[in-house]
Amino acid sequence: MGSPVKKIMLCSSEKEIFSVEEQVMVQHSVIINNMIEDGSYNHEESKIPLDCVDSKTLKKVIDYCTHHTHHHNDNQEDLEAWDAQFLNVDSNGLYDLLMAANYLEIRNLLDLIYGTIKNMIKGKKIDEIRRIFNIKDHGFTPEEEEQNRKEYPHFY
Amino acid sequence: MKMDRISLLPNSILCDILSYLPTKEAISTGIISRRWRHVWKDLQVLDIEDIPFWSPRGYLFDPYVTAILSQRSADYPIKKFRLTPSRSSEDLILTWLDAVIGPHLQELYLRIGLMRAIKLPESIFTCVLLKSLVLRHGIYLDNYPEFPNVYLPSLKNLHLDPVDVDPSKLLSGCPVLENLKLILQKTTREGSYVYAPTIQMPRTLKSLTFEDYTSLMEEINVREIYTPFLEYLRVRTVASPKLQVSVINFPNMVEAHLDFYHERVEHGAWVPKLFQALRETKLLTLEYETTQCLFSAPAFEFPEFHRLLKLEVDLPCFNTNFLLNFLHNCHVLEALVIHILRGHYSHPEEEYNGPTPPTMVPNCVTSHLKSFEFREYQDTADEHEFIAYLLQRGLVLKNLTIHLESNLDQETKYNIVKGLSAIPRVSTICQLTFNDKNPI
Repeated sequence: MGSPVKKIMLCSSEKEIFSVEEQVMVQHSVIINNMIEDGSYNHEESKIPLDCVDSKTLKKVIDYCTHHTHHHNDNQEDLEAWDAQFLNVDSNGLYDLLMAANYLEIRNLLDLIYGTIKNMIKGKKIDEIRRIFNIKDHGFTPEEEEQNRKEYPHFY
Repeated sequence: MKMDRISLLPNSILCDILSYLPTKEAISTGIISRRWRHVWKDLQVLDIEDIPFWSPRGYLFDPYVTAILSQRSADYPIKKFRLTPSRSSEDLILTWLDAVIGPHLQELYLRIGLMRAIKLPESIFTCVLLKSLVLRHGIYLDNYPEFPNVYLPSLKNLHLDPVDVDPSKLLSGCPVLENLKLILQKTTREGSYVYAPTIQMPRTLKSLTFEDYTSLMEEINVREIYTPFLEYLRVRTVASPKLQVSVINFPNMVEAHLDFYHERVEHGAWVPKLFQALRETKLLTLEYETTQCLFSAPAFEFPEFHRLLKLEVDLPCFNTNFLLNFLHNCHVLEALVIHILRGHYSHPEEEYNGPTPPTMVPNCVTSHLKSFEFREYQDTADEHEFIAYLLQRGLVLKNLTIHLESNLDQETKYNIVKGLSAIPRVSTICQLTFNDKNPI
C-alpha cells in the first residue's frame, strides 16, 4: 500500500476549511511551497489562514491547481479550452481570482488572468476601455479631457 | 463615488497587466483616467517597436523613445527591454541602452535597421540576471580590440543572428545556456573573413539552431556539438573539406532539421555520423542536399530510428530503394512526407548507391503509418508502384495526399486521379486526396 496522500488545510475569509492535496498547492503556490519547505506549516495542527480570499474564490483556485496538477500532460488545446471555461466568470469573480492568485503567488494562474485582462484592453479605444471596466469617473478636469482628445484623437 | 475595481488594483498588478501590451499601447492607458495617468511609468517591461512611428510630421521614434526613458520612474529598473530602431543613430541607441543595461535586466532584444550598426556596450556581457539576449541585424561584435570578458551566469537563451566574430569567448561565459541560435556569417561588415577555427557548443544546450557560412576558408574549422541534453537541432551549413563537425549521441532528441550544402559529395562525409547520433529523434526533416549526401555516401547504412514518428524528406529524384531502406529502419513511423525536387539545383543528380532493401514489408507501413504525403507527384512507373504499395499494405493508413506536379497537362492529371483512385485500399479508413496547384 502506498502512503496516504498528504493533505493541508486552507481557511477562507469565512473561516471555512478546505482540505487539499499538499502536492497540488506546493506545485502552484510559491507562498505555500515556502511554508511547507521552511517547516512553518505543522501537519497536525496548522491551518493556513487566507483572510482575503472568500470561500467561492478559494474553491475556484483549488480547482485550478488540482486540474493543472493532474492534467499537465494533456494536449495544449484541451488545457486552453479548460482554462477558457474556468475564466468564464463575471468581472468581480475575475478580480477576486486575481487578488487570490496574487496573494498565493500562483504564477500560471496570474499569467492566465493578466492575459485575459490584457485582451480586454488590446486594440480598444479609450471610451471602449472605460465602458468595459466600468470606469465612470475618469477624474480629469474637462480641460484636461479635451486636451487629451485633441492630442490623441486616434485613441478615442 | 465608488471606484471601479480595476482602478483599485495596486500599481504593481496594473503594470504586470500592461507588461503584456506593446509599450505604445500600455502608455496610452494613461489617458483612461487620472488613476491610470502615471501607472505606465512603473513598467519594468518595455517593448518598443519602430514601425508605427512613420508619420508625415517626421521620424517620431527617436523623441518617443527618449521621452519614455526619461519620464519613466527610476525606482523601477527595467527587467525586459525590446527595441527595434530602424533609423536611429548609434549615439542615441547607446544613450538608451545606458539607461537600460544594469544588474536588474533579465531580457534584452535588439534589432537594428540594416543601414545602422552599433558597438554594444561591454557592460551587457556581465549582466548577472540576464536570462535572454537576442541580437539581430546591425549589431556587430567584431570591433572590440579584444573581445570583452563575458560572465552571464543566468543566460538561458542567446540568439546571435547574424554574428560575424568567433563566438567562443561569448559562449564560454554562459554556463547555463539552454537555447542557442547562431547564424555565423562568412564575412564581417567590412568584408574580411570571419575566423572561427573551433566552436564548442555549450554542453548545457537543449536547443540549437546553427547556420555556419564560414567553411570556405583555407583553415580547418572544427564544430563540436557535444551536447548530451539536446532536444532540438536545426543545422544549415556548407560541407567543405575544411569543415569538421563532430557530435556525440543525442539521447533526448525530439526534433532535428538538417540542411547541408556540399559542393562535392565526399565533403559531407560526416553527415552519416550525425545521422547516427540523431537516432532517438521523434521528428526528422532532411533538406535536398542532405538527402543527396545520404544517397551517395559510400556504404551508408540507415541507423535504426526506434522513436521516429514523423519524417519529411526532400529528394533529388524518386527512388524506391532509398525510401524502403529508410522505412525498414523507422519502426514506429506514423507520418511520411516526401518532396521531389527535380532539377532545382545545378549539379547533376546522384544515383542511390545503397543496398537492395529486404523483400518483406517494413513494419511501420503495415502497422503504424497513418499519413503519407507526396509532393510534386509525376506518376512515373516507380512512383505509381510505390503509391499502390502503400495503399495495398498500409493497414492503418488514414490519409494519403498527392500533390500533382504543376507542369502536367489536364488529361494526364485526370488519368492519374482515375488510375490511383482505382487501386484497392487495404485500410477501410484510408482517404485519398489530390491537390492541384493549377486546377482544371
